[in-house]
Amino acid sequence: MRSRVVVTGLGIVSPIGIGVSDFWKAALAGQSGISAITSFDPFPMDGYRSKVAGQVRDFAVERFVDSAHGERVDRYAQFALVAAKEALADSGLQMAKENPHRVGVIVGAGMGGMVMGEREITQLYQQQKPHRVHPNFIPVITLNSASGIIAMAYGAKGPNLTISTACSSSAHALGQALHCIREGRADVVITVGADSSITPLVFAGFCSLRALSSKFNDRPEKASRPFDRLRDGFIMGEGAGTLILESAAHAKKRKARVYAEIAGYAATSEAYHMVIPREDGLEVAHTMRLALADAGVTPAQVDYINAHATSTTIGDAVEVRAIRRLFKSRADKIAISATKSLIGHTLGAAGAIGGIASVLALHTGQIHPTANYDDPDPACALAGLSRSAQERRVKVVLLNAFGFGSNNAAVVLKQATR
Amino acid sequence: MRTVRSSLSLNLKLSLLQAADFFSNRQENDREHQPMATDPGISLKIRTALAEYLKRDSATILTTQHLRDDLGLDSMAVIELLYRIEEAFDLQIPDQDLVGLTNVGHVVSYVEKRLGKTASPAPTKKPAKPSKPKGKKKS
Repeated sequence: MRSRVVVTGLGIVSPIGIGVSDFWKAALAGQSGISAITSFDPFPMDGYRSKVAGQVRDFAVERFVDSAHGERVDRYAQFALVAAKEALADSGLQMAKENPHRVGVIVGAGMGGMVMGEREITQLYQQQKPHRVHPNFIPVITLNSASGIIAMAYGAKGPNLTISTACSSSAHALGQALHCIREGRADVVITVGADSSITPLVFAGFCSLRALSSKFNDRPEKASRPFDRLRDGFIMGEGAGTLILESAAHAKKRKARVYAEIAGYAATSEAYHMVIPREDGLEVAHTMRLALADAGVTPAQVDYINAHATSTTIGDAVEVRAIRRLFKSRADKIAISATKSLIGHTLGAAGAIGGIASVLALHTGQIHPTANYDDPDPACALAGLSRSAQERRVKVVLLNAFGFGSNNAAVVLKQATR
Repeated sequence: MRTVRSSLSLNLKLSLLQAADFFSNRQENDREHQPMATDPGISLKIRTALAEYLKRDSATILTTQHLRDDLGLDSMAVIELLYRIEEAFDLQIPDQDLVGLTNVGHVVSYVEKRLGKTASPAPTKKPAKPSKPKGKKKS
């Protein structure tokens, strides 16, 4: 008999707020966290086709966490640490009372330690002094630095994993944490998504892929516009989200407040193309169907979809095609929102942050707006999309995340049963 | 630079007419739409770049061929091809210009237009760097 898995804590670092309360207030107001990149010192922005991103402002890790941990890691892992600290405090979990081997950490990260990474690479190639490479370069650049430092900060000795599947990384982190607890390998999993790679080379790389919006450089807050007729590419973002996943029995025993249940998950590959999705949406529909089956619910029961919705011409249309294929006549009755319309595409963090928006929808009965949904593209119009916040008692939520490498994930969340 | 631009205004108007073709409904029939006479050097360089990318003989690459339907390039492959062309001709192609580049001839015409080397129906070929006019301040 597999354990039910619930969410007992939330924490976030985002371009519209550090801390869940600030994030959610801004999200419900449809606030945009997209702003102009002032410079990639020493590169001026002239050479970049896209000049805007969802940036976390005024972040200094020492304001939030112990420097012994914060200083050892790159920006993305600092975000992860801060989000984990908030989530653990929010959950009321006391590590001193827990068996540390039953508390795991699973992080989803797409790019990892690119801030220090690019700096050290540049310096080496410019100065050609190998002995001046910083001794902490390898620990920082290794992709499991976030899961490592969180385990160290909290003494969590259970399963410790990092999943890197590009934009679907932390949706898979949620799913793997679900499996871990279901199978009895942990009571609690600190589940994180984190990325911070708005750096000269990575940003240039996405520009060269022609994947980023370039038509709204003068109006950054308008750039991220999923499903809108004028959308022209995604907007890079950075941030971290943490959800404390716990077995329902364990949460009940310690009288924890339960936000929602993580009920189902599917992990698939389209086996199609490294960056282009299948245009017919068949595989995406399949992934969503599998996740719903794993949760023991039917498509007819879904009342909110937190869409992947990156604001690319093709991607948004594919997702809608898949939603119409799976949900048929119900597709227009489901509430939909695109978290990336507010904060951009946070890559490895997207699944976790979308998960937080999904959990809060279940917990509060409020669905955040989809910003800039001004002129719906007929190819991907769904009646459940709105520029305004929606009040709706939702019981079953589907969270989508699709990554480069032809990688798809879907997670199903349900209202916590009382 | 201003001198070069003003001397190309006629060519630019012609190029704009061609560009209007690229973005009009006639894109659907672009197999029939023959681009105007092209600079053989540019055309060869582009067809050679395509041939190298596709690992085939450049003689088999024709200006009428559709990048996707005839040459089998998906959108990522087109982006990579255009990256090579940018490097070969020292150009930067803005995102919004990608839309019209659907066949080999379009790419050739586009590069020519950007380099100021579009062949025009007028008999006189404009020099690439005309001499400065005497006694007048350029607006």
